[in-house]
Amino acid sequence: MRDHLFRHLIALWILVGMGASPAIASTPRLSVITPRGVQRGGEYQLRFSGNRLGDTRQVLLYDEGVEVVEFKQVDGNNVDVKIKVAADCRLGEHIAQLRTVRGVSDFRSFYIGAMVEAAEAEPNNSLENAQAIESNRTINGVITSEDVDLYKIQCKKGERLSIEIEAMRLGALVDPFVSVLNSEKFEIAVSDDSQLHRQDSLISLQVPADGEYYVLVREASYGGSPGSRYRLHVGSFPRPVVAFPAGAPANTTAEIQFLGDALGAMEKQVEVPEAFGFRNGLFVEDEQGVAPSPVKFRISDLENHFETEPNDDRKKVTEIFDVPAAFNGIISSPKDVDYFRFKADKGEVFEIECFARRIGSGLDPLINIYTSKGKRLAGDDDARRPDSYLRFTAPETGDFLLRLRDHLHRGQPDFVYRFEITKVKPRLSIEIPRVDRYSQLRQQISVPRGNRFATLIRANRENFGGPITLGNADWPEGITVESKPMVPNLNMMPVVFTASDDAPLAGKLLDLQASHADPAKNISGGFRNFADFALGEPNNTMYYGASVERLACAVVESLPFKIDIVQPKAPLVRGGSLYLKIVATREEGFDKPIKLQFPFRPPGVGTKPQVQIKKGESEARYPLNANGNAQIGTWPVYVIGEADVGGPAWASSQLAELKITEPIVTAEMNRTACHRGESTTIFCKLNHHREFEGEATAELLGIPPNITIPKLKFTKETKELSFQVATNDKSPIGKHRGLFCRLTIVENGEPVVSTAARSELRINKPKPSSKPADSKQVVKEAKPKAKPKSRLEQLRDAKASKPPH
Amino acid sequence: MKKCSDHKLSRRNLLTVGAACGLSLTNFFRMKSAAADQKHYVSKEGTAKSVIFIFLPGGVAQQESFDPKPYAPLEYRGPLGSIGTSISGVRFGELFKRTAKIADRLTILRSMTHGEAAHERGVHNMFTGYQPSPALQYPSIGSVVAHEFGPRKNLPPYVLIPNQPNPYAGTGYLSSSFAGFSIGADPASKGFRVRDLELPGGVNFERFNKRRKLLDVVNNHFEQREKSDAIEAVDTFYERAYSLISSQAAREAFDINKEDPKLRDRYGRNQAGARMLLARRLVEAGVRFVTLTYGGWDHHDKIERGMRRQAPKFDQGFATLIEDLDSRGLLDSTLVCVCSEFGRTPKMNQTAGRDHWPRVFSSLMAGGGIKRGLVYGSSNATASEPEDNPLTVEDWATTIYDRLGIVADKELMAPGDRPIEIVDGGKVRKDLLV
Repeated sequence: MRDHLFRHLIALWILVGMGASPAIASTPRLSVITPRGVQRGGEYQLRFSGNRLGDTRQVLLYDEGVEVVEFKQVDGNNVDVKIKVAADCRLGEHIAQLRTVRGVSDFRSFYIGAMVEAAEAEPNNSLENAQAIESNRTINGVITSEDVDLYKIQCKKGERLSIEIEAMRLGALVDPFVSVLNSEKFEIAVSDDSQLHRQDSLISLQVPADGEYYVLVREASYGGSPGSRYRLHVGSFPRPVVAFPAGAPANTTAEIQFLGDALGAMEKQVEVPEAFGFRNGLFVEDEQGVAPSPVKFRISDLENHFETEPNDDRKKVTEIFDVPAAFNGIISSPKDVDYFRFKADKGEVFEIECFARRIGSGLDPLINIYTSKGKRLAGDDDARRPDSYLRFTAPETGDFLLRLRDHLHRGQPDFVYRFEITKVKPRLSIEIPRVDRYSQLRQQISVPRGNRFATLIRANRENFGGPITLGNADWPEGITVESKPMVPNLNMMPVVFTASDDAPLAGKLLDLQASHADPAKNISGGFRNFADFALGEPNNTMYYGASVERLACAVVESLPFKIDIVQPKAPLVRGGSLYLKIVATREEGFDKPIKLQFPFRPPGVGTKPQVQIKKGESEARYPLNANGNAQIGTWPVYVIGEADVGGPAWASSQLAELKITEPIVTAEMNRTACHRGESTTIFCKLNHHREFEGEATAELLGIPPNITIPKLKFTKETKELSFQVATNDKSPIGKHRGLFCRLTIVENGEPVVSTAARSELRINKPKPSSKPADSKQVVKEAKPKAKPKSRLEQLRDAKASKPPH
Repeated sequence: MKKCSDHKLSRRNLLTVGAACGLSLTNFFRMKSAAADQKHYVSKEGTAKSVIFIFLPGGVAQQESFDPKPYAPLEYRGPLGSIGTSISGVRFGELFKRTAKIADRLTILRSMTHGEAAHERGVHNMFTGYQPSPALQYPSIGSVVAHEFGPRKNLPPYVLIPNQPNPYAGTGYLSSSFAGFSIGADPASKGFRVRDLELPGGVNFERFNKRRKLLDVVNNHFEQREKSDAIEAVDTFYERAYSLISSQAAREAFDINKEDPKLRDRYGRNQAGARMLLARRLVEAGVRFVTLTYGGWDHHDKIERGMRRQAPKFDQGFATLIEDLDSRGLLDSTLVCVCSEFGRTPKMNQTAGRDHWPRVFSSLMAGGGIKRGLVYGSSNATASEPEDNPLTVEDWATTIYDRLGIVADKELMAPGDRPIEIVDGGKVRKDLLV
């Protein structure tokens, strides 16, 4: 009831809000699409639910086969979308996200199935009230806490009964368990986890006798919640789990065996496409149906070679393969070991990828490389968790042996593996790094009209170095993009997007490429972002997630604020600090605080995570500091501001320049000591690295209480400073290590602040014999006429004045 | 002879064991010799008659609490500022305004250090004084206190507010009789009542005693048939529960509603304030060791927001607790410890938080024979390493035991008749003591 009331209030708020002003919810968040799947070949209504989804203008879809017919705003958090699904639409996971007038939502999944859909009907918790279903159905159900769902199905002896459940893959944290019981209530098949779909269960069995069978679905540990949805595919469709070989060159016809199905291996001729497109794999189909999800398959230009038994002893393996190539085999029985012999020239470097779990095989590979005489050269177990990988450099010209076995010496007829041995090649991909640990926040490009947005782009370089530039893309109309090449030693670059005042409100999914700055290198790579869909114990482990290869970008409604960096005229010096001035331009009436972030930090530059332009104010200073090794150069930087405009909305500053230089002056300070109540001097030698005009200031900071050290002025001529230290009877005794000297020099009319040197001041206990009169005398005597004496000189004097023993 | 309570060796037991299991005389003498070698010291109440052990789970950042680094580079300094305290030259995080004013009544430990960066391992260290071991479950400090001194004024010696916060706050290898009494409800909640303290509706004392006698008949039957620590422990629980239920004064110690509303406001009507106020009532009434937890301080993300939400409530409650104890003359006999399982990384991470850092972190101690207005130890310029007087968990725990009047070198008997020191190799840090 409360929820109901709350929904109405929200709707009312949206209506009132929209009528009163153009305040429209920002940063739409999409949580779930329901129902979680539909059958292909028909029109259906899906509900997109989340937060701030009012004023939806577009549904962005990542794959073909699904068309949006219309959409209807239900309320501020729900949108009903009517879709038309083609009869030949690709099965399995599809991805969608929404564009509203103020932003682009997260992406979420829905599923397309081949079979007629049915809904779970409670009560179906016991064998007595099991829900009767026909074969070849997809049931949409929910596992609530301690729920057990039972379905009753008639089967004939010898026919195939395949069951696949999509539960964890639907993005709710639910670990399903499926079993099949015969009419006598005995379990004839169970599946908790599967080698193809991890937590999601798979069963393929040949029906032993005519009769009634029960399919039981529950959460593995009897958990569950109203959000624990599942799609249970039950029918006679083929359900192999692995292909052999699990890869072939593009645009060829390959003879592929599909293993793991109850009716035995299936041999098929497969036309290998150029690429798989959005979701990879081969859908296995026969006259009885099609598997709901694909078998994993690699499209690669490597020539396939196959194991020939007996090959469990290096001496029995005589055929020598050339590499690069793909080696394919099966660890078919326990203790099976497979050897391959290949030749290489001295110094040649190869990457050896072993695919097993990654192609749906149950094998846990362990690989080793030997010389032809049997000396072990290299090996790996789990570099690809739990698949194996290693980079091998041939120590001499000759032939080498590659050995593979299961880590636990297991073996079975579908323990397929595939080695891909390639020369080391440069690889590049780009992504938008997360700003929030567990969400897709700000991983879409939403550029407000007449304003800016910015993001960091991260490059994943493999096997090459060098600068990277962002490629041209088909950006929405009215958007301009600004970035500087990513420097060779960094993997991050800032990119600022600007939308013109009259840019049409529109959005699209676009291909974004990056490449080596030198076109002759011919190295490029595309965009890929990954989102966690199901996280759970322990420690927010990712159980299921999905990636997309296109970037969502949109021009969105204008914002009531803009921010700009006032270009600093002075540099940030190594070991120094600088305040970056940020100015906000507010629309009349908009006085909310603007939270600023400084996302791109040149190497060695540190700052605060956030600074605020306070309510009603129009300026803030963003503090930056550089350590002693900060990378010298002129860096592109930006500040992004967040304000509440009915949800958080972001606007970026321009791409400004931050210059990092060597310090103008450095210093060296002596350590010093005195007795409590006395005075002393700290000498500070100045090293000038470049000239400056006028007078500069030097001050000591980190001074313990009850000690005073006045500031000093200096010029480009000054070689040494003498800080006068005065203590009193309350000054703390002990070593004070935190003392440091800060220099402030004016350059181009702006202060250049640096920490020039650190020192230590020791305050000793007062001498037992020294009376106040004496100490005064000491101070008097210590007062220099020409140059004050350093602590070392004072100690030498003291030693010299001591009578000899 | 000191014995582990569930491994009693009497002549009768020896005969039984010898007959049933064929225990040889050699084995028996070896076990007896182990017991004879056991280091023994008589525990005698020390300066700290009681302890309030305030545990802040998750790992409080030293930089944002009691060891700010206002001159460190910004990425180390963190998002929060610092404020002066009543100790000249000593600064606290800006959110600890009231604690800063009573800093001259505290000892601030800025050089706590251990090597355990996982929550459960760090927590184990701080509750038991030991690094975790797969071979043995160590008892918590509270359970050792219960073991050494037993109950006082009909009250449980060891009380947990609101519940046992983790497995390491338990009895470890000691008998379950020394487990803490869990309040079982949050004193900040409306209608707070301690479960198990009231007789069930419609049951008067006469009827209750009748029931108790009936239960004794059943229990005696079991005791004659079975010998187990669990049964003996249940007996002990019942005995203590009977004495608790039958004592009006003891029951009232748990009744936070008996406090002056103005004082409740001063503590703060929230989890932190209510738990600390209840802790004070309990130690005032005679409880020896009160453990309470407050909040979640595992600030991997947005540490500023997390600190701003929790620190002010802690600050208000804690400062009031110290003032309240002091004004009642209880501070000198009550040791108050504030700690967390570890500190947080010197440098801020990508999500504006800090991660786990056990190399150096801060804790507080007050009262019970600990110096006032002392800053003990220091961390380096970026709060990443101890600089002066690194304080190990063993020494810290040994110092707590010392104030309680327990020599931490004393050995207690663990299963397998292994004598185990209360703390292994810890030294009392005399600089901390009054």
